Amino acid sequence: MRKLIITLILIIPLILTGCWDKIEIEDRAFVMAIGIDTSNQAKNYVVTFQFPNVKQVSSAAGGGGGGGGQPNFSISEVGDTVFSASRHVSTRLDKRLYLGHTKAVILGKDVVSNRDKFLEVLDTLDRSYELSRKLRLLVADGKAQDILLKNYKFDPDIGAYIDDIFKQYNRTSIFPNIDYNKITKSLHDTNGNAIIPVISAGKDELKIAGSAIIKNYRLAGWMSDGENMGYMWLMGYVKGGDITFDMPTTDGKEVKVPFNITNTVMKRQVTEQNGKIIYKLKYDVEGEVTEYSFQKHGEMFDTNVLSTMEKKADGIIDKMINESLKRFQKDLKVDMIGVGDYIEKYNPSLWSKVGPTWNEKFPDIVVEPIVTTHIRRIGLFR
Amino acid sequence: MFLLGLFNKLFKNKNNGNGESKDVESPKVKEDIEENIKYIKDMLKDSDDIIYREFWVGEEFQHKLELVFVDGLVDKGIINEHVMHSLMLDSRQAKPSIDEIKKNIYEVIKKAAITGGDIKEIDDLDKCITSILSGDTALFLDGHPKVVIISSKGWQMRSVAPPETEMVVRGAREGFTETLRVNTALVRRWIRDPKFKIKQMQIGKRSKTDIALLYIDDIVNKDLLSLIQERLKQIDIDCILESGYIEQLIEEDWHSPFPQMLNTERPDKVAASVLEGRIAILIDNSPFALIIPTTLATLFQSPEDYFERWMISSLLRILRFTAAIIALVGPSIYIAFTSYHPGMIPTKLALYIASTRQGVPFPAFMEALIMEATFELLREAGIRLPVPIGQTIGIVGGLIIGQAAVMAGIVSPLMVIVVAVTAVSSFSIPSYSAAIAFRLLRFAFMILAAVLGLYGIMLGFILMLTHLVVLKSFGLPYLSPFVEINLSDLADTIIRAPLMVFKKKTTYT
Repeated sequence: MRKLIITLILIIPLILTGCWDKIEIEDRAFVMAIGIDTSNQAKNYVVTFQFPNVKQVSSAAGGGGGGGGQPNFSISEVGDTVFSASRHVSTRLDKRLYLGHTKAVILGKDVVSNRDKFLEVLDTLDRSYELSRKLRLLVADGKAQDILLKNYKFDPDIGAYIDDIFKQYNRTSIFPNIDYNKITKSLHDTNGNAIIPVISAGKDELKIAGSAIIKNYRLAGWMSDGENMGYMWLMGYVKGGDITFDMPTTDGKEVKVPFNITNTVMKRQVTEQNGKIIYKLKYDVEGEVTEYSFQKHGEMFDTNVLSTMEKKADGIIDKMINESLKRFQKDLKVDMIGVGDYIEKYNPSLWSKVGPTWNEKFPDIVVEPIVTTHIRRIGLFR
Repeated sequence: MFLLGLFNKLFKNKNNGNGESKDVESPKVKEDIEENIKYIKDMLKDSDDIIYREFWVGEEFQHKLELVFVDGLVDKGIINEHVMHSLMLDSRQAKPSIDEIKKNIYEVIKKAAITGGDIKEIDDLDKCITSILSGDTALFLDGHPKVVIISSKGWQMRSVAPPETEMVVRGAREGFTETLRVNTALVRRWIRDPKFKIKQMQIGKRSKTDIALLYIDDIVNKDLLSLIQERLKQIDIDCILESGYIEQLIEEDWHSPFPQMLNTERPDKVAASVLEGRIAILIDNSPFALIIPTTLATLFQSPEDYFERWMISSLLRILRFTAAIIALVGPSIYIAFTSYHPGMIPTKLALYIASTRQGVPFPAFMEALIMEATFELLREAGIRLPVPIGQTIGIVGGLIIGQAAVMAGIVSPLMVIVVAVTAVSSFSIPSYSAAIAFRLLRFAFMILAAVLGLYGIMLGFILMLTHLVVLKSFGLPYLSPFVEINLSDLADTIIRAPLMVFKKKTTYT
């Protein structure tokens, strides 16, 4: 009897404390995308939350039956901090904001341009226990709110739309396939240096291309599509994409030949010679020639033609890498291509020597990319 | 606690009330036939189904004989053909010497006159009455202090039919009946080993129910055997109505929802268990045999597992274990995910659940509770009703209530799916008693999930596993072989290894 009473006393507090964070699923607003902008008003930030209209979801799945209303809702709130803005939303919304399924966070250009605000926003994002580390962090080319308040024809759900675009990154390799986790890691590892993909809105569609370069927690510049691919090469992220090279034909003209990359393998090596650090990058690129207006029947079977093509492709890739390298080494003078990281991990003795002054050393290191392209498939023939 | 005390009190009182008859010594058979018959008539007063048949044999009809039997329990053919006909007519033609007859007519009758197959003689009148009441015929002879008991059991009984609760696609279709002798014969037919023993005893002060222990002498664990016999002897009860009585009276932990004995109505399952060194208990009037000891793993075994190819059987085993987990935590996972952890559901599903729950007036826990209770009601109603109406219940329950509840917006369609999947899962556990245990615990898990979310479910699992690890079935850990480090024993648990692996099956798995 005593035992029973003691057990009950032990169990009751367990049950009584329960339920405090119980919110039924239909009482939550599943925020799919968040936009953060700075504000000129008294308050610091304008935060926009976009969440789908769940009534629409079931009517779409059930095939008719009611429906109506817009497919998603956006709500903006001003606040001194991002956190307070998210709390103040509840004065206007009948549901609790839930960030566990958020797919994308879009930062306005103003936010990344201002070091203090950017740090504040990052702190909020880092501390949130609901936000997933796998979400996509993007920089808008203007205001984030403008992107979130539009309706897009392909997928009204902006978070899912962005996430699906990212899934296809290896078809082009012109924007970095990096998620929030990688960005925040890079920012904190390198004291404020990172690459963030850029999003821009058309009339009724989104586009993700290029990237923003963050140096010392502040926007330092933009990378265009081509530069971005160079960056992707340097990081070894390229797993697909297409490049085009000019192929001289027999009658002296030049034909554009598209080359579709199917796989690449990057090997890195760091050596020190006479005080100079040499960073060797060896690429094995595999791909296929998807079209070629040939002049002579069976030209594509000629090994010489193929090896010429491979050389051309090597050249194009090499050029992209060097251009991007120049940007980082000469213009920005910041190591965002993972050289320091690599040395620290695989050559710690060298790192202990160069590590403390790495930012000064980085512009002087020699980077030697060696590209070897293999054409694996040449397509169908007449 | 109060109820328990009351129960104990009642139980004890009942025992005390009946304890007296034990002390009286049972009377021996007297020489005077009238005295014997008078005693029996006295004991079996007001029993109009007892038949007393007096007749006389001998050249001058000087020997009085009397047959006593219960009408309806005996095969009258045996009595007519092999007792009365033999004694009254055939023996006249055999003509042993008159001297011999005069000297010892009893021996003559016993040795030469009765043509019935199975006779024995006793001199205890109470035993004689028990025999009469169990369907034997007693033959009293004037002037001799012995009774001849002629086995003449033959009553209307159900014939051997397919086991309805344990159907298989492939395998024997015989199931136990309500008659012990038929059941022991069914098992004996599987094992023709002289070491296979069928040991009988009677339990129940009033019912005197026959029960039989089945085991193989050189495989069985002798300690286990004596333990079971000890516990069976300690049973002090008026009547054993079903094997469930024995199960509950000799099991180790009556707090546990899990069955510590496997019950089966399949003779092949009993034979297989006995061959593994287990002990089976057969009870008269019950088509269910008990198998001791039992582990959790055995509750997931079906005879068919061994008849089909091992890959298929292994897949089915995995399926059953998965089904058990779904039956246990299906609705509680739904409650925990939708009420506490929507981040753990894939985004599109989360949105879909949220949209289907729009306008549902109950929280997920109440919704699940209502649906589960409805399902249990339907199941209970379906069991009681005759088969044709049972199907109607299925249609009304499954289609109309499910569909109407969703249409009315009282429950979400996903909840109906969850309940249905849980129900189907719980039926795919071969052992009915294990399935009920999981079904009961499901409600506990639902409450835990409603209060504490996934954390509560994990707490529930820890509590349940703690209980299971401690639980023992007659000395054997309930979770064996999972709790022992013996890889070869795992060959017949979650998977069913090829038969080549089991060289000699003597372990309990």
